[in-house]
Amino acid sequence: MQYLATLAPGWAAQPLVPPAEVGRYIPQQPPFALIDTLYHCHAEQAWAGLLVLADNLLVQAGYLSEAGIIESMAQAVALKSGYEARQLAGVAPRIGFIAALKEVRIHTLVPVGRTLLIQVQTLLQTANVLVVKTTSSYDTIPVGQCEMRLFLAPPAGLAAPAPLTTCLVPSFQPA
Amino acid sequence: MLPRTEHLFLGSFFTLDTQATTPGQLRAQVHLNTHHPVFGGHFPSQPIVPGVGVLTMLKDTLQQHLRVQLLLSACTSVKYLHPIDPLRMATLEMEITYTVRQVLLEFQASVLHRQLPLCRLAGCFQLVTAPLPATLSPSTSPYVLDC
Repeated sequence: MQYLATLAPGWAAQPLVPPAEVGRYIPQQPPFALIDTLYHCHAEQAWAGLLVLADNLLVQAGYLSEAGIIESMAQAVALKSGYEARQLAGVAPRIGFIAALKEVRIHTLVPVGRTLLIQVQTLLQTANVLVVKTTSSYDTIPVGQCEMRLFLAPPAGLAAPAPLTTCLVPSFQPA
Repeated sequence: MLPRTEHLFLGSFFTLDTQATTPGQLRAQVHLNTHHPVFGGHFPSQPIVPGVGVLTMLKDTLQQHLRVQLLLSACTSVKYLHPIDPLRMATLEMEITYTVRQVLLEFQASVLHRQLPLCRLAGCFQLVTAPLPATLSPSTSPYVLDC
């Protein structure tokens, strides 16, 4: 957290969404919540964080695994979207299904006890599609990055899953 | 020296029936554990296999089959074609093609349910050959890759 305090002293002290409130903004809940704070947010960029704890389901041998890093970045995107939906538009957050990942890079793992800092950058946003680039680090050490394409579920909330068919699957269509 | 790390999801989130084929190709049947704690949070209203769950199952399967320790280095592309509801799709088929070049293992994989494509992945792992240090401190982490 000292690094974050240097980066932006106000952010760590007064986050937009502290850990106690994160559950209101993202569909993922414990024990699979891998983001705990939203530090700062504006239209194209947001910064979020996760304090890596030993009892996290994706922590192994004292480190947050590659899966945990990617999931944390995905949930940072969800947190930004959820915050914008609730705080700015006053609507319920829409669930984002990840349609694709592109150019995922994992540089190192994150030790338990460190805070993973994630930056989310919006590349494209339409009514139903969100494309973002995420980068993550801890203590100035680059951890990982990837580009994500998400499909946003209809605003009414989690749509019923598409019925199982044996034909070639269409893309996940809104109701 | 620390022992090798256990698999993250193999044995808990899923179990495997491997039908190994030729060197460089692997087919496996994956049986999902629908009671795994992950599903309590992903999502409370409807269990869905997380995208990183598929990545972890792929990694664990390769580690188990090749008896090596792997570290995900890069994914050029991962496509999630259909949500995976573990209640309706408790058994999945995984087909992996891989090539080992020095310390890198390049892979292409497909995950299906009764021939319905669910996910396609391509990328590479690094083979972790260095022993884990006695103290887990970031400065001695063997996982730092020079990219």
